[in-house]
Order: sequence, then structure tokens, then C-alpha cells
Amino acid sequence: MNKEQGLIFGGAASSLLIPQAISQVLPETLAKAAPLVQNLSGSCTGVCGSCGGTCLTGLCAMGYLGAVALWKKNK
Amino acid sequence: MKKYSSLLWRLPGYILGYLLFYKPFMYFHSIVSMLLADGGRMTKHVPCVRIPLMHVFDGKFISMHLENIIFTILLILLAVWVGPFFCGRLCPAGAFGEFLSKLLPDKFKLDLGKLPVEPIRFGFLFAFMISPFLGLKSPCGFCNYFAFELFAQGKIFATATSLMLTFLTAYLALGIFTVGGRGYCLFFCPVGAMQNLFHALASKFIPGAMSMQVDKNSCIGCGLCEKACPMRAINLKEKKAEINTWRCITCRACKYACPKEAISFKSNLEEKR
Repeated sequence: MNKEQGLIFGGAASSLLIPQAISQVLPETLAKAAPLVQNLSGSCTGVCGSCGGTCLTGLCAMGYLGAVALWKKNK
Repeated sequence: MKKYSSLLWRLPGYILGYLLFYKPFMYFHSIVSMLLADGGRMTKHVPCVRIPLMHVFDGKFISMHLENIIFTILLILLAVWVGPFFCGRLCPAGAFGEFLSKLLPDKFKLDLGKLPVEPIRFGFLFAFMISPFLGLKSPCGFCNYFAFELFAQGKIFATATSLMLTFLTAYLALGIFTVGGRGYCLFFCPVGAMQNLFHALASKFIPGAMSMQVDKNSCIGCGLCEKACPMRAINLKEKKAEINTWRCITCRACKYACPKEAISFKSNLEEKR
């Protein structure tokens, strides 16, 4: 694995771990977003992190994928 | 109709996969419970090899239900011997994305196979594996296998936001609008990544392991196999097809697309002959 691949590997892992950590350790950072999501889906608890924070994880993972795609395109 | 032919050929396998592992049927659980007189646990977690492998590291593997232990061992043995058989032949969740993708012409789709797939895929797998050890909750809401089950039961829009998001991600962005339709399998599915890890290492180091192989003498470099591969595992190098075992799910779509029958599924011993 070269340096570039190592960075991509680390970035992918971080994009899953960091949002989970934020939603669990600092749930208040997302306090404003939770009611909005709750309005969109009746099953949302409205308290970020209580269900595992997977919606945030999914968004970050997709965002990371998009960022890598954009970086590759520009390269 | 031709573009659906390889998928239609695999359809009975996906229906079997649904009957074996999905509610309300779950025949795999019923058969194992009956044979082993185990109490059984009707759960979608049986086909998830990430959980049992995580428990190998935290020491809880042996206390898991027999269905999980048997399924994990079977899946690993299959991955070592014949590759990611479960992904290519049994998993209806992955096949659904592939089917959806065929509904749209390629010009509207993104070819995510050109991205550095392996570091991203195994980076996600690493994170999935270590998150419980860091005191984080397991990101099970990010499972399209589970999301597909809820969809098939008509419950997807009455469920957790995370699963709805997973469903839309897996089947819209990474399904319909992705070449091959298996974007979720390619990047996010930990079970698929693990099977490919075993498959790639086994096809290199274990004598007798089976994999898709190209007969370089017969290959004319037409690129039809490259287009047919749902996992974007084939590249043309010097006008000859090369199959990447880190991505290949041995679905054999390439074999059916090849006009010269240059691709076959065989053991690595035959390759060396």
C-alpha cells in the first residue's frame, strides 16, 4: 500500500468512525438538525446518537466517496 | 433482453437466497435449528459475517448462536474455495441494485469502479470492525441487506431514518445511477469485503482455490466482459482482460458476455498448467 492508498484507507475509516463518535460523545452539536429529521421520518427518535447515529454515518461515508471522486476527477 | 440474460440465469439463486435468509421464510435457520436441535433465533444477523468475526476478536464467538457460527464457517470456506459465492449467487440485496441499474442507459450513470475501490472498501471494513472496540455503537443501520428486507416487506418508509437513507443510497445513488448497480457492494458491504479478502488471498496462496480466469490466448480484447461486470472487476491491459480478485464476486456475468468463451471458472492449479 503506497502513501496515497494509505491516506484513502484512513479517510474512509475516519468517515465512518468520526461521525459516530460525534453523535455519541457530543450529541448536542446536532441538536438543531434532529427535529428536522424527525419531521421527515416518523421513526426518528429526534435525539441524535440514540439510534447509533447511522444516518450521519451514511451521509459522511457518501460525502467521502463524493470527495474522493471529485479529487480523482480533478487529478 | 440480452442485458438481463446473465442476471436472469442467476435469478433462481437469488430467490433461493431470499427463501433461506429473509423473513418470513428463513429456511436456513429452520434447517439448522432442526438438525442441531438448537432453539434457533430468527434473525437477519445470520448472513452477517462481520458480527461473528468481530466476536472472534472479542472472545464471544463461541457463545454465539449455532446458526451464526455455522454460517460464518460455511461462508469463509466457500469464499476460500469458490470465491464470494454468497454475493454472486445468493444475495438478493446486491442483485436488486444490479437489476435497477439495467433500467437506465449507461450514459446517465457514474462509473465508480474507476475510483480507488480497494483502499476505500477495506477502510470502511476496518472501521466497521473496530467501532465496537472504540465504545461506538455498531453502524447496523447502514446495512442494505436489512434495508432490502424492510423494503421487500413494505416497511421501509415506516422505519428508522438511517435505514431509509441506506436504502436510497444503496439503490438510487449506488444502484440505478452507478454502472453495474453494485456500488454498495463495491464500497460499503463488510460481508462482501471480507469474502473478497479471503478469495483474493486464497486464489493466490491456496492450491486448488477456484476463481474466474481469462485464457489470454483466446481473449480478443473486445471489452464486452469489462462492460458486463457488475463489480467493475475487469480491466483491459494490452488488449487482454484481467480480472481483479479483490472485487470479483464470481457471478460469471463476464463468462456469458464473452464471445470467444475465453473466461472460465477454474482452479488456480489449472491456471499454472
